[in-house]
Amino acid sequence: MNKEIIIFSFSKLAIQIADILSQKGYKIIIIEEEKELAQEALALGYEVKQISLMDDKNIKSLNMNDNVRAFFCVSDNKNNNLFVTLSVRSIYPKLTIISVSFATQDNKTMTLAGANKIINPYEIGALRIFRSLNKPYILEILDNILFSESNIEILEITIHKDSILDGVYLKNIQIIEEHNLILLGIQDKEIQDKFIFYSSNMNNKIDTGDTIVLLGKDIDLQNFTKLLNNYN
Amino acid sequence: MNSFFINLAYFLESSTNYANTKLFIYEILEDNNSIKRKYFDFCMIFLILSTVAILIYEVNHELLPWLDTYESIAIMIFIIEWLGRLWVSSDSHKHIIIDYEQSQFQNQKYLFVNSFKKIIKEKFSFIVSPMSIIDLLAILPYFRPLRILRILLLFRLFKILRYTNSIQQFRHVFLEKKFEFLTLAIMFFMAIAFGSTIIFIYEGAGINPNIHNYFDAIYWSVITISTVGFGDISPITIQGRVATLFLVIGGMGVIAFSTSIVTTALSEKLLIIKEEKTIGKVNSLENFIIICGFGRMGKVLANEFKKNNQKFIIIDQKEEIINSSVTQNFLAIKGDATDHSLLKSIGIIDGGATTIIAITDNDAVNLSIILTARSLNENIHIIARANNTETKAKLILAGASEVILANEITALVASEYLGQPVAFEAIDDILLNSDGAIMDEIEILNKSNFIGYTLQDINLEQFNLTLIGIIKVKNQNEFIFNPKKDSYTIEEKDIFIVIGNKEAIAQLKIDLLSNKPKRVLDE
Repeated sequence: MNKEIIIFSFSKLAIQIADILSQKGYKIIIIEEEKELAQEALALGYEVKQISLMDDKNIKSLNMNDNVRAFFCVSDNKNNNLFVTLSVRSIYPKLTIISVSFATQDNKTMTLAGANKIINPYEIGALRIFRSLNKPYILEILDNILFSESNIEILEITIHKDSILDGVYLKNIQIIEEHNLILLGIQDKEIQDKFIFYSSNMNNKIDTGDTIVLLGKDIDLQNFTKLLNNYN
Repeated sequence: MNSFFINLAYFLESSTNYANTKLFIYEILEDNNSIKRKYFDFCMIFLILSTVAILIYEVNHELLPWLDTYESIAIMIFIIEWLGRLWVSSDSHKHIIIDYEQSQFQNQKYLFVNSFKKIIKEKFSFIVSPMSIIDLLAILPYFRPLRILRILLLFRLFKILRYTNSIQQFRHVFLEKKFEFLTLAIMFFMAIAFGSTIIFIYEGAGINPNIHNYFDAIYWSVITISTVGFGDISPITIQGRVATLFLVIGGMGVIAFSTSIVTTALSEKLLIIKEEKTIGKVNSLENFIIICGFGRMGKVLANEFKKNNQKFIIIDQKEEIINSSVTQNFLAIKGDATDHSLLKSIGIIDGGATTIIAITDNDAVNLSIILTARSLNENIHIIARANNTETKAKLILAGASEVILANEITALVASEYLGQPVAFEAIDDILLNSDGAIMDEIEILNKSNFIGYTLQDINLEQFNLTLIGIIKVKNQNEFIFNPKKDSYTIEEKDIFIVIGNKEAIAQLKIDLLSNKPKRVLDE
């Protein structure tokens, strides 16, 4: 379930994305019209469909429903990305679409075309350089938490009905501290999915459908998740 | 006394009102990109011209009382403007903070007098700058004891130069083309001497009734060569008329020559003048970063540096890119960043450059920049962009301290977003400082009263800060995640990693220095 990743165009960025996500256990399907690039992808062991996504019939033939976790639109051509993002969104309204943008001013256009998340390699690279100069310790800690195999992890938990946290106020959750975890904040459904940091001094009530974000050692996070599941 | 100034400096650093007011004044007075400044300049030019008009009116009229009041108000505005410029010319409180933190770091006693010297030096260099002197000369004659200096009121006209950058640049162009203008002047004087001598020899001895002496001959030559030709003196002999023909043709040559000099100077020398000015500015900077390549990544990086007041200079080979960066008020030089002499001229060896960032879209160029920079300075921090995975190792081998592979990081970011979108957006928010919550580092300085006490004694809850962990610098930067509040003992040089809003973090920094632990206060 939800394990397929479809990547439009086998660009340099696509190679990196396919590599990382295949290591995480996702099944990668590459859509590449050009024969040479398609063969390159095939040689790396990925499933390849040599079709054009400029045609809606081909997009429909991909049958991207519950089996697909996300669709990546990462061609080097900005106009193709916009066209494919819009076409895919019009056919699959609920699909997670992640599209590349090469200029900050294009981010909004891509969002209008229907992308859920915009990735801009130039922006991400530049901000990383800036942070490595400005706050090196923080960058290292976040890198360890997010991208490496350290024992500190970040975890988001969506609150289900009848969860022990349902109806509890943020400032009253003793159980998180008892598990040696840090509550980073909550995405509150009542406030248009806005993320509220625990440090913002707002004492929101946790309701069904809200998502809390925790930081902690992997063992503590596992114990806490088990506890929540047992109650459910 | 020392602690008063230290607290004041930290207070100013944390005060958003102070920062916003100073930024507002800076935008009005000094920011070339600000629309506010354009309106302000327009008003100031009007004020200057009106006060000069009053001066002219005063020559043969009795000064009306309301005009006197008007001038007084104008002078008050000039004084306030000058004081404003003096204020925004430097951030004095930052000297105190930097010196203080440095002295704490080196375990030395902090002396305010050292910071005071730096502050005075900076302010003095503003006061003696040419435009500041013109401002003062325009104000001083207003005061009664200095009435004798009323002629200096004309300096108000020079003051207009401050508001019109193009006039200043034009002056530089003339200075640069000194040789050409000198040649032109010599040619002009030779032609005048030649023409006036001929006319004087042939028509000066009473032949032409209008030429009485050699000065009349020179006057005729100048009027003729400039193609003005008043007609009050005109040649009457055939020799004189032949000389006139040559002078008129020569005059056209002089005009054509001067036009070509000015045009060439404007188109060719302006860029060089700008570059020299840029290098001059860079040489006076301390702790600045060199960005090689102003492409899409360079632009984002430059904007981040600008937002955080980090000084930097851009080097790029494309003229249009340099022009676009200059219009954004960035320091930029057109040139090859692999050129030893260029990097030397902007201070990579013994200047204020601390880091060089090679982010062109060509890996070979980035490699060459790294090797050039490393060969000039063994210690400089070098960050490079790799466009291909296989180049990363080569760039490190060449001497890069850090290599950024944008596609790789982007792919990691995308994969993390897929796994936990809410958590990821939260971290993104913190890093982008988008909604007030930031992640920051707070260092425990040796003067802190909290050393030896527990985290409970800080009472972090009152600041609404989330403590993520502590980096123990004394223990090889070991990271202690979520330390126990009642048992963790604070040590000197510990670095707290906290999440919270900017003001709360600044307040905690002050409190860690000036306040006492909760336990002591309770007792």
